[in-house]
Amino acid sequence: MAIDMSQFYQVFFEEAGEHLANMETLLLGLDVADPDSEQLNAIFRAAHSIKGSAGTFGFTDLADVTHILENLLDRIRKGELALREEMIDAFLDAGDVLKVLLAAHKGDGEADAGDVEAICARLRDLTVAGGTAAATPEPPAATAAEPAPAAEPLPKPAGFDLYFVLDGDETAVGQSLDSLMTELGSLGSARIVTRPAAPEQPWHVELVGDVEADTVRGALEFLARSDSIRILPLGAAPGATLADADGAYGFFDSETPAAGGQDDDAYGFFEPLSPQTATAAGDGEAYGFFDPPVAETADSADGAYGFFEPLPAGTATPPVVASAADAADGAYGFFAELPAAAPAVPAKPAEGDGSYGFFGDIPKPEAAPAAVVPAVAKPAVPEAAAKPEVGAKRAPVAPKAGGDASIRVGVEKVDQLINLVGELVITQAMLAESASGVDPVKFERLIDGLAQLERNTRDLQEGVMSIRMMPMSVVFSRFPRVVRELSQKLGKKVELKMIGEDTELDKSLIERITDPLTHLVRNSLDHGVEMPEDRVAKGKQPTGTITLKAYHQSGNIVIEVGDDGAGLNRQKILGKAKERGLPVHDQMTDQEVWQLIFEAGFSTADQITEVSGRGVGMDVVKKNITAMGGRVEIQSMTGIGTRMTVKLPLTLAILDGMSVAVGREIYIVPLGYVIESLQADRSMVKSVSGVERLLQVRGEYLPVVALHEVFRIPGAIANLEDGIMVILEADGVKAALFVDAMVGQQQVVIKSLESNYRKVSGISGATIMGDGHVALILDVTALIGMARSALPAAA
Amino acid sequence: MVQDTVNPQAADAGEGGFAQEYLTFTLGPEEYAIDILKVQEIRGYEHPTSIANTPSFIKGVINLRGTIVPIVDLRIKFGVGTAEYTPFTVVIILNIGSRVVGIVVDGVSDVTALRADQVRPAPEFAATVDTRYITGLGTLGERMLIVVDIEKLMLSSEMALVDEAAAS
Repeated sequence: MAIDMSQFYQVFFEEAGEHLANMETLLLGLDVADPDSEQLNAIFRAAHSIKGSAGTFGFTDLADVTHILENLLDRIRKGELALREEMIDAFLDAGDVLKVLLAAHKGDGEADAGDVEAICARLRDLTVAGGTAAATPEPPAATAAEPAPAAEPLPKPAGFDLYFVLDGDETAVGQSLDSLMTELGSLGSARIVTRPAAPEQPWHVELVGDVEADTVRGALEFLARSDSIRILPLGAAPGATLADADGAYGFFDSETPAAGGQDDDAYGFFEPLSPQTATAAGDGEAYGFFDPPVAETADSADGAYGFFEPLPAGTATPPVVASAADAADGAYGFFAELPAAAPAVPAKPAEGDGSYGFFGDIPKPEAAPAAVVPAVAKPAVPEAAAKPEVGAKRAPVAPKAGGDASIRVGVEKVDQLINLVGELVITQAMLAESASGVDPVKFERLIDGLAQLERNTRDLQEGVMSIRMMPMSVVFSRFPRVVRELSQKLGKKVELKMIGEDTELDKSLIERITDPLTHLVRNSLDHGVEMPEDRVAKGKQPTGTITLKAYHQSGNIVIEVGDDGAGLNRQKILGKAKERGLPVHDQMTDQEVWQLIFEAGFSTADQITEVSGRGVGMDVVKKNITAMGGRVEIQSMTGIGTRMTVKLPLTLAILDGMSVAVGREIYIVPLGYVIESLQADRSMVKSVSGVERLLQVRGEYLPVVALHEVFRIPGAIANLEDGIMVILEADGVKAALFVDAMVGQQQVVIKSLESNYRKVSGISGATIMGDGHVALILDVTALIGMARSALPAAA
Repeated sequence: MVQDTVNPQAADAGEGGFAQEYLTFTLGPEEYAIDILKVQEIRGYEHPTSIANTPSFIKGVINLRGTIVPIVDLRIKFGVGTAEYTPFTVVIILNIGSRVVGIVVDGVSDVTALRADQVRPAPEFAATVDTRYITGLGTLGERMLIVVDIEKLMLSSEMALVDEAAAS
C-alpha cells in the first residue's frame, strides 16, 4: 500500500482549516446557558472530522489534541457535563493551537509543544473536573472505555449468518445466486444453509471469513433486496468484550455489563442479555449489532451501523428503537426483532440524519407498530418511514449548509476563463458593430443570431464573474471572536451585529479587505464604545453595539463599521493635528477633520494600550483600501457614535465606466468618481488672475482639469463653454474634468498597461472598445492631484 | 537577392561554426537584423491609441488579440527614414522577456542565417543608436546588416518602455 499521501495533504489542510473555522463560528454562536444540541453535534462532528483525517495522514499531534477535545465535547453533548464559559474559551484556544499545528505541518512556522501540552492538560482537567460535577452520573461503560487508544483491535467475527431475499423471478434468482455465491466466495467460504421454498422467502447463507459486516452487506446489496438483508454474527457470538479502540470490531456479550463502544469506528456486535448492560455509546461510526432489550442502546451513536435485534419481542422493544434512531447520526440500523429465527420480511426504514434503518417487525402484529412508530417520530424525515422502498435505496444525504457541492479550482484557471470571456465580449461587440450597417431585411437571420450571441455572451460573462465572488460572511465570521476577546480584555460590553453577510465580493478583494476591516472593528471597540459605567452615566445601555453591514450600491460594495459609542472628538483631533504641525484650521468641515485620523502616526488615545493608540493603522487602512480602488468615509456624531464606510468596487477586473471623447481619443472615466456632468455657461466659468480655471457649481468653486491640456491632445475643443464638464470626486476633493463630449456608459474589462508597458501618470489602465481599439482609463485621483499642483503654474 | 538567403543547414556545416538566424528589416536605406527567436509575428500597421506625455517614438498602444501592446516607431527613434504610415508599413511584434512590444519598420526583408565569423564587431562611433545595443555588423555580399541586440535595446531606460525600477 505505497500510496503517496502527500498529494492529499493540501486537501487535508484546506479541509481541516475549514472545519476549524466552522467550529469556531459554532462555538461563538453557542448559548452557554442553553446550548443547542444540534450545534454541539456540529462542533463535535467538525472536531471528529479533523481527528479522523489527521489520523489518516499521520499527523498524530493534531489527532491527539482533537481526541481530547472530542472527549470533552462528547460528554457535553451527551449532557454528562454542563457547558461552561471557560470550556468555550478552552475550545477556542484549542482551535488556535490546532491552527498553529496545522500551519506547522504546512511548513509555516513552528508549533510550540508547551502550548499543545498546556491545552491538552486544560481540556483534560475540564473533562475530569466536569465529570465530578456532572449532572448525570456517568455510566461505567464510558470509564471502562476511557483508555481507548491503548486497546488493541479485537478480532473480527469469524463469520456471519446472512439472510436475504433475492430479486427477480426464478431464473433470475438462479443467476443472481450464482454470482452472489462467487462474490461471497471471494470474501470467505460461503455455504447455503437454507434454500427458500418460495422466492419471497429469505435465503440463509453462512459465511465464514475475516470480513467486515459492511463489506458483506455491500456485496449482498447488489443482488438481494436490500430491505431484506440481515447480517448476524455467526452462531452465538464469542465472548469478546470491549470495543474501544479506533476501528475495533467487538462482540458485546451479555456477560459484560461494562460493554461500551466508546470510540470511533467501532463495529460492535452487541448481544447482551442482561437488561442493565451499559450503553453502546459508539462515538464515531459504530457498526453495532445490538441484540439487547436495552433501553438506551446506541444513544449517541454518531454514524452507528446498528443491527438491533431484541430477543424477546416484548414491551421493551419500542424504547430501544426509539432511542437508537434518535441520535443516530447517519446510523445504519437493522432493527429486527426475532421471537424465533423467523426472518424479517417487510422492513421499514427509519430515517435519521441520513440513517439507513431496517426495522424488521415481528410477525406479531401488536408489537410491530409500537416498534416502528416511536422510531419514526423523532428522526428528520418522518414521511420516508411510510415508504419501505425508500429504505431499499441509499437515502440521499441532505445537503449541509455551507455548500458541500463544490470543487476546488486554481485561481489562475478562473482568471484565464475571465480573460477569455472578456475577449469574447469584445469580439461580440465588434461583430455587432460590423453588422449594424447591414440591411436588416436581407440579413434578418444574421441579426437575430447576433442578438442571441449578445445575450449568451452577457450571461456567460456574469456567470464567469460570479465564480470569483465570495460572500462577505467569509470575512465577517472572524469578527465575533475578535469582538469577544477584545471586549473581555478591555472590560467592555459589546454586542456585534452583522447585516448582509451574503453580499458577494470578488475573492481577491475579500482577502485584502480582511485586515483593514479588522482594524476598523478594533478601533471602534477601543475608541468608540465606552466603558459600561460611562455608558450608563450617559443614559445609554451598558452594552454597546458594533454593527457590521455590507450591501451593494451602484456597482460598488459598501461595508459599514458602526458603533454607538462616544463619536469622534473634533476638538481633540484638531488639537492633536495642531500639535503635530499639520495644516489645520478651525473652519475645516467635519469631513475634513475626520480624514485627519488617517494621517500616519495620528492617534488621539491618551495612552497606548495593547489594542491601539500607537497611531499606526488607520493610515495603513486607508492606503490598503485606496489601493483596492476603494475609499473610506467617516460619519460621526458626539455621543451618538461613529460610522466608517468603506466603498469598494465589486471586482478588480471589470469597471463601470463613462467614455468621453477628447480630440480623436476616447477615455474611460470610472463611474464611481463621477458625480454629474454638465455644460458650462459663461457665468459659471470664473477666472483667477486672468486664466479661466474655476467652475462655479451650486455655490462651490471647483478647479477645472482640461484633459486636452494635461494629455496634450491636439484637435480638442479649447473653449470651456463648448465642451462638457464632468464633476469628479475623489478622497473628498472635487474637480471638474473638461472633455469634448460624452460618448456613452459601459462596462469595460480592465487591462493592465504595465504588463507590456509602464505606468503612465493620469492613467490607471486600458481597455478594449467595441471597435477593437484601445481606450485608456483615467486615474481620477491622480488627475485631481494634477489639477491642484497645476493651478499655480497655470496662473 | 536569392543567393543572399543562406540555407541554415549549409551554414551550420560551414567552417564559421554555429549560424544564427536573423530577421532583417529596413529603416530608410539601412538594413537591420534582429534575432528571429525574439519575433512573435509580423503584421500591418494600425493606428494606435496614443498615450499622453510620452516620447515621440512611442506611438501608443494597440489591441493585439486582447493584449495591450505598446508600439515603438524605430524610424523615429533611430532618426532614419520618414515616419510615414502607408498600407505597407509593417509592425514586428517582439517577445522580449515576458513582454510583448511592437516596432514599426519600413519593411521586412527576409530571414538570414549569419555565422559568428560573418558578424564583425562594430567600431565605436557616434550615432543616434548607442553602440552598446549593436552586437556587430554582418556582411552578406554587398549588404551590411546592423545586428541589434533588440532585447537589450527595448528594455533600456532610453526606450522608456519599462518602469525605471524594472529597467536593467
